[in-house]
Amino acid sequence: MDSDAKTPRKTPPSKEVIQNWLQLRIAESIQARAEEIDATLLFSYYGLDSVAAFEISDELEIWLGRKLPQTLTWDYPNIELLSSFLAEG
Amino acid sequence: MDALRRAQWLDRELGDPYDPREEFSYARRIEEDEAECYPSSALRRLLQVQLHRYYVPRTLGGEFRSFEEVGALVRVVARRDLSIAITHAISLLGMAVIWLAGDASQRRALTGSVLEGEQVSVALTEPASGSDLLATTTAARPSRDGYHLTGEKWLGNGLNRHRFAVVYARTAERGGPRGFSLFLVDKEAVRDGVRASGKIPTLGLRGADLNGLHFDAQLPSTALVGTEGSGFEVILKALQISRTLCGALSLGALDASLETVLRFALQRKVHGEQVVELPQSQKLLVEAWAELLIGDSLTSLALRALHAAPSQASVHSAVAKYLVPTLAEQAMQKLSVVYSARYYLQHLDDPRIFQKMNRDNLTVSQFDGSTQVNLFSLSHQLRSLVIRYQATEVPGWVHYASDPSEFDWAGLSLSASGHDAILAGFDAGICALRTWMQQHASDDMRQALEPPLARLARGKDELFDAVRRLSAGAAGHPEAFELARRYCVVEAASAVLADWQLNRAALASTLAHPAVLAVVLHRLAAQLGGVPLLPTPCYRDCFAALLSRRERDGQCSLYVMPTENTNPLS
Repeated sequence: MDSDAKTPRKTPPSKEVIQNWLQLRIAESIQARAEEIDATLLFSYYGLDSVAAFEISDELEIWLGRKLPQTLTWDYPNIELLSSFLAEG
Repeated sequence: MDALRRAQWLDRELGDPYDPREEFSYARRIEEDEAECYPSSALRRLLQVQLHRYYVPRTLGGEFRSFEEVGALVRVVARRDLSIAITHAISLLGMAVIWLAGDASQRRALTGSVLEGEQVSVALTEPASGSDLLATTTAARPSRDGYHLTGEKWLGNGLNRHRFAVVYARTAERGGPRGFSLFLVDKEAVRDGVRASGKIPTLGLRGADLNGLHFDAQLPSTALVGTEGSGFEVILKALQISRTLCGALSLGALDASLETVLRFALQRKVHGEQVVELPQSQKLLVEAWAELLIGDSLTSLALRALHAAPSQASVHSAVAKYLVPTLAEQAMQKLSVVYSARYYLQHLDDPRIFQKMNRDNLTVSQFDGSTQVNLFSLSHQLRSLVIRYQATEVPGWVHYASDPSEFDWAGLSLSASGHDAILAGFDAGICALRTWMQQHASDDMRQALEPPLARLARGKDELFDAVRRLSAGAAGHPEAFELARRYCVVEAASAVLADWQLNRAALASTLAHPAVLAVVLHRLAAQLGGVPLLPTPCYRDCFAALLSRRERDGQCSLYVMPTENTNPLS
């Protein structure tokens, strides 16, 4: 995880910043490059099953400094949908 | 102490385990188990004492007060027959699903049935998919005014026996975590659409009725529990409760195993000496006892935490479900060494009790999410648990006399968001014990306590460092499984130290005894490796404490039972 993830934020970052964070995070977990991660493909396509998705929700909570539903990645199942939702605050 | 008082009452109700006329005597239990006979009359006895009422919330007409109390009660049954305890407690999982997500009429239907003494089965697993709930193929498709349920469920306890089954099925073709739902199926209402398979023979739980169901049934829309697509989320939360209670099941089996082997060792002489006088026998017996005490402390705190910190149950339940059955297996292995050839003999009652407890306990590691499933799910939370770790004092709810708050079903959560109140007290526990050692411990005792304590403190630091270095996506790898295992050990140490700090008054001749504490900490540290053996006198003193505990209270569990003879129902 990058060091930014440890600093809680007050205002939600832009959709692009969140999208970038998610692409980096998923790239790290499957040992790929961020630009190889397609924002419209389902998280499950990248092997992020249900339990692994909680890990991302937890890390997003820490990064964004706000409480998030743990079923976030189930209800917004790709980067595009999730980053749009999170950017709305 | 209410939970223990009620457990004491149930134990008396079940009669003398060594009187073969009693339904819950070991002789009867072995006889039925070995004949693979369903324990109908023993279950009727539990119905008479109304054990099932303690599973049902008081707002719905039952007697449920706390999960600690439920744990204490199922442990009493498990001490006589683990298979019956599991068979009876299976209702808890199905009921948890309905309390969590069911509507008023489902709650009424199920409550009425359970209060009349019926049990509820859970149809979760399938022949091809095992623990992988997202691979479930049994499907419920919209049909007429409800759903058409098709598929085969397998390896469920009492599936063909009980009227109500909670069934987990796919409701979206694409699957995924929102692709499954739970149904409360009244089998009497869909009799033509359900076909039962025969009893599946197993190594343990021989008297239990493990079987399967084949569905081709039309269900009314009212069978759906909660909303469509919520099944995976709801069952994961319900399993947090049953997994935590699994600790109590294994502890009951270990209670009986320890007592059986102690009875033998106290009578048996080899080379002119009692087995219990041999230092090596003493060491093995107290190590097994220490493993029981660790499991006891961890299970008690995890059960209390269900009330005090339900949002952390995904962590506490995984830790308890992994570590307690595993510790019980390790303890039974040590006891089998002391038991020697008796372990294999089949013509005497006592060895058969031990053999049955062993084979029944082996299954606890398998059901409700196996050992590996629990380590896997915990491994996904390690990074956030370490990042968010904040050392605190031991929370007040650890105190045995604190009243459990009303259980908040809505408070359960799929992940702990990095919070773990049991582990948070670890540093304070280490510090408190060191302060106590400086002020009160003899030199010998300090020399016994400090090495395992130091190993555990270092173990937590090493664990945290390793987790910080763990890359994203490593969670399914062997390294992450090992770190999850170590997390469980450190968490158990934290539970023991918390108990030791707040509950010393209830731990006379167990953790409050320095030699016992030394052996307990040593067993924990040994799980991390690299800790020297304790000095021999430590094992001897611990063994004296074990005998004194057994002689005074007739059993060897962690918390000392109150002595007054109170009937909680009067």
